[in-house]
Amino acid sequence: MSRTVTSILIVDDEADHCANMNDIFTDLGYRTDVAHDGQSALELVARHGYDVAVLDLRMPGMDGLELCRRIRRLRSETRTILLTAFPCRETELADSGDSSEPFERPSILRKPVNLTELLALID
Amino acid sequence: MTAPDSTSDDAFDRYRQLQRYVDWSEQDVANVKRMLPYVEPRFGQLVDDFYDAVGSNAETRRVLTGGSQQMQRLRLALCRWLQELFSGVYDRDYVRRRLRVGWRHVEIGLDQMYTKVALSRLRVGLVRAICECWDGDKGELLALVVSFNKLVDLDAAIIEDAYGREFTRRSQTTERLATIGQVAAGIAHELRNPLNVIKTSIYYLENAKAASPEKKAAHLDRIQRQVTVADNVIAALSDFAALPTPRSEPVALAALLNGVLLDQEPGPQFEVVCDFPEHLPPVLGDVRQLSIVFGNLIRNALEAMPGGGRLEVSAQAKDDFVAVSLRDTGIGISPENLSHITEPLYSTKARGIGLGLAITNAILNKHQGFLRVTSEPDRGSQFVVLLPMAVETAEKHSIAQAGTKP
Repeated sequence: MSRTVTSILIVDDEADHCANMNDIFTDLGYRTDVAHDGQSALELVARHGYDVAVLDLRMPGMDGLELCRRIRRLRSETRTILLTAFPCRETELADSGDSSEPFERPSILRKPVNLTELLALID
Repeated sequence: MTAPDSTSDDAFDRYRQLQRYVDWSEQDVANVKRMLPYVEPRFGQLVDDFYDAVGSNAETRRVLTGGSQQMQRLRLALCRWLQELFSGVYDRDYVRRRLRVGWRHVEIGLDQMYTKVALSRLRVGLVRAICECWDGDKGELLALVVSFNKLVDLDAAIIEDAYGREFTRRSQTTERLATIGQVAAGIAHELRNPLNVIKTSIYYLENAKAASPEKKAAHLDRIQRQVTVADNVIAALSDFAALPTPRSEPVALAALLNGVLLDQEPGPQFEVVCDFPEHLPPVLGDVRQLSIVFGNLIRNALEAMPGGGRLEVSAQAKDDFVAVSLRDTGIGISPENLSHITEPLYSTKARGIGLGLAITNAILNKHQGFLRVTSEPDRGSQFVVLLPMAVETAEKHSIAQAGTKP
């Protein structure tokens, strides 16, 4: 993970959250894209590729975990960070992942997001 | 274990009722008291037999966890129970102690059927005891045994009653706690999302190196908007928590529906078509509560059409009701979900606690109204609200009068 992060994909069905993340990352000099659902996120990943994808766990249609797996199948180099507003334990989330896949597990952060933590994970 | 006195008082009343049911009389009291000298010498033996049976059954043995001290206590309690049974005093305290047996059995998780068979075993032992020692008239003996059986059956009934009530109370408590857990999780999710936006906006406003005045204004707007989102979550909960008895006044539905539609601000991707007859009779109801009903239904309809669509709102008078129909061209509801949609905490949305339709249904029930739903997945749904007409009697009257005209 020595590569410098330059591009970030933000996926969340909540428009205000995406706009905020977009403003913060752009201000810090990252190249960013925003998607509001899993399908359009995958299209963006296939076309551009990103160093990091910050995904909401619970979205209508494809949820964050499933999207995580698909992104990694498309671009295994993309690091994924899951955000959740749900009061669940990290272990439950980690267990629900498919352990047969040779990818690292996503990092999980709670909403409201602690930006210091999130930025530390990205860089 | 303690229970409010009223519980014991109610139980005593029920006990008295049951006594009347079996024609329990002073003669029965006298008969049972007469048995005491015959059966008392066998109490020790009966208690031994009782606990031998408890100990030899795997399921009942399970509750004997307190060693010899517990055994000592249990034996004394049973001895006391036997003495009270033949004491001739069947007062409040007597009943309260029987209640405790039932409560205690729920507490230790002893199935009620074992109480029945254990009582059966005691009953057989006691009847055998009196038959073996009785040297008098056979007819008298039969009368004693009949009175004794009534008494044991009354005891069994009151223990079973206490068991059942305590069991229900405990399961309801458990269920309530589970519901609170579910609600809490839902609220947590619904509040963390707006809080998240507020927090990240504040971060941006504090830390951004190149924040334009426009950006700053946009973030302040967002904070404002998300405070409203959070407030709406609380409002939905308070709607549910304190649904007051609806005020019954004539409500003009067309105006109410137009107002609700205006509040919802459907975007340009929606085609909203209203069709209300010019002289739609008013319904009987509570303006505020009916606004919640139609607000929920219209919001649901719009949310069911994420890419936009057509919403038809129409109303018509039918019999003593006004029917309001809301038809959307949205994603629809699958047949398996359709039967659950008015259950509290049932939601198929990524956002939402699952209270909207539950509140809607509760309000309509209080209005003597109905909700009918039909839906076809991928085609859309139709929600029909039926509300009682306010001018029902007046109108009937005028119709009747019109009918009498030549």
